[in-house]
Amino acid sequence: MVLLNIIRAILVLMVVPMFLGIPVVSLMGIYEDRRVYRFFLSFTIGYLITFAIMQIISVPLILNYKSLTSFVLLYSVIVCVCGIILNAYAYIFSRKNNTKVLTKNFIRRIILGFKRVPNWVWIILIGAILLFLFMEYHYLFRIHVDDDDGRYMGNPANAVLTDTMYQYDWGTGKYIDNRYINMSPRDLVSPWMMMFALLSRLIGVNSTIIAHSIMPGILFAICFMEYFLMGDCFFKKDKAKTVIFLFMVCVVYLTFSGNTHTQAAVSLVRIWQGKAAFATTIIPLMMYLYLMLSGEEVHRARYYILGMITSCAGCFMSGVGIVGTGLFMGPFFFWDIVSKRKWKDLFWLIIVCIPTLIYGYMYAKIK
Amino acid sequence: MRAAYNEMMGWFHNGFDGNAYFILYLICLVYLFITDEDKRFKLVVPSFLLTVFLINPICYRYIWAKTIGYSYWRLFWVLPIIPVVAVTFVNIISLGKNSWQKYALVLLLSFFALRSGCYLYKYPETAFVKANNAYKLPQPAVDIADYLVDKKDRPRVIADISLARYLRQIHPEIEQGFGRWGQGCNNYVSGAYFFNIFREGPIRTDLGEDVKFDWNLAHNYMLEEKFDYLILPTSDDVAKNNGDKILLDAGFKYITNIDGYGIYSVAN
Repeated sequence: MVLLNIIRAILVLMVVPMFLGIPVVSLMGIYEDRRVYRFFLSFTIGYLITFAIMQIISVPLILNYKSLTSFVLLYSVIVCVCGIILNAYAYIFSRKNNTKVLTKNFIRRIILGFKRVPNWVWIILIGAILLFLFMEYHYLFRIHVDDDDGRYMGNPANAVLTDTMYQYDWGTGKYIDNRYINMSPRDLVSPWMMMFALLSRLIGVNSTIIAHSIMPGILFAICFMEYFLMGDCFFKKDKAKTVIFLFMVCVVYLTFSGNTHTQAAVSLVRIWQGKAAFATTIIPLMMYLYLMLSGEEVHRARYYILGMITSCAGCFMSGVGIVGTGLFMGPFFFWDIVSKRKWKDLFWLIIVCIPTLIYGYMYAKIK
Repeated sequence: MRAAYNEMMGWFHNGFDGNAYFILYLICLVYLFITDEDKRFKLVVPSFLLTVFLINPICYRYIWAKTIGYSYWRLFWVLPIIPVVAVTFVNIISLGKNSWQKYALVLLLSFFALRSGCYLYKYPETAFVKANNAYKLPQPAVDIADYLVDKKDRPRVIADISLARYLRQIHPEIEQGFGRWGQGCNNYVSGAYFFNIFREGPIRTDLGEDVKFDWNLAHNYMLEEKFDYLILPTSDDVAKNNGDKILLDAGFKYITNIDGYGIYSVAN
């Protein structure tokens, strides 16, 4: 039984995101000869797409009082269809453009790549890895008990038990007569907690265990994959500087605190909560997308579409994600358009902000 | 406008927890603007624009206070403080002429970062403790939740506030008189009545100078509402005496003690 759960977890948490992420990265035509970067970006984007799919399908289902089973089924079907279409399209695209999909001697290439790094950087790299593992260790083997979890973890547990979504009170288990009055509107528009219910159904493990023991490790790893990619953009493929950048990011994460309110603090303490997941995974990703867009000549439309998917994923996580994605991408992307005088891209900027506008409007309407 | 400014600064101090990272961020922006031509327009200018857009009393009054209100301080997370500070530190470390100078700069800047903020895991609010179960919840909550669902399929309980927030995370089959989220409580069954008693900690038999809490009334109420168990923190002495006399006199029946919590049956 445990073995079956582990297989299901690997399938849902590792294979599915890669199944969605790999073709998207292939279509973007980047990191073709840099397998580690490609893996990191594929994994990150794969998760991003799953979050965006969950947001698009879950909100109408929740507002129409549909069951959790309908959410799980619809999600599974859409992920399969999207994955097959994306992979088929990427395959045809790679054949047309004669792109190599597989590279031989994968591990040897990684080792050779790092052999070019100066010796003194190795110690910094080991330091960065140790600091990262130290932070991961806290999430994987230690506990931080948060009062808000009564709500955050009570809701998915209710959903799995009753096969409903947000129709029972998290604290008492009592049916809610009018949830538009008795529930927070952000739960209905940003149903991050239903992800744990969905994963619980798919993997067969209690939603609280998934939220407290499995997802934090993955989300925090995604965060540092994004910083790794960001460092590569900042320092134009300079591996030594990228390694130092990662080390300094670890140091800043461990020290940028005073209590529990800063971005670093929420990322290191309660990453399973939607707002913290937004701070940890979406904000660095938005910066990465902006850097890619502002860098060399790229297929700009593809990055704007990714920006929209990121925005959708941000809306899924939290009410602050609805405003935060628009707040970040608006000024940064607008600045890029203005500085490069690419006025036609203003259309794409509006596309990027569409999720913020739609879900912001819904939030205000429900409130 | 002054009121808006004061309110905004209140959120600002709340959001940064009194650390000096925002000042460090501004210094880093100035440093990068002066020294790094590539980052000047790519990173510094948009970061500055975003900062000004987010933190000024006019925007606060007409945009942020009206749209996002209480969550305003969370928008500070969007400021690219971490990448800006890290990029600046990398640029400074790159100035070192040999590996020893670079190591020294790494250590110096790490220390500087520590002085700007503080080590995260040292506070009680951010502290982690050893995990004893996969739920990553306090062990008494797990033991008691397991016990309750073992005894009955859908137990209805009123538990002390120190337990009420956890039980349904473990077994949502448990129905409660009230739960708790953050500083508030949600309470659709019993009004504020029980919450007011339990939030102060262990058993209290009075609600103030004028109001005398009546456990007989509580017992009758729990019977009417078909609750099965009452769970309260219990000292070793009380456990040895098979329950608190006040509760036993009111009609509750002591069943057992699990991890410092006494479990009382409400059966008539």
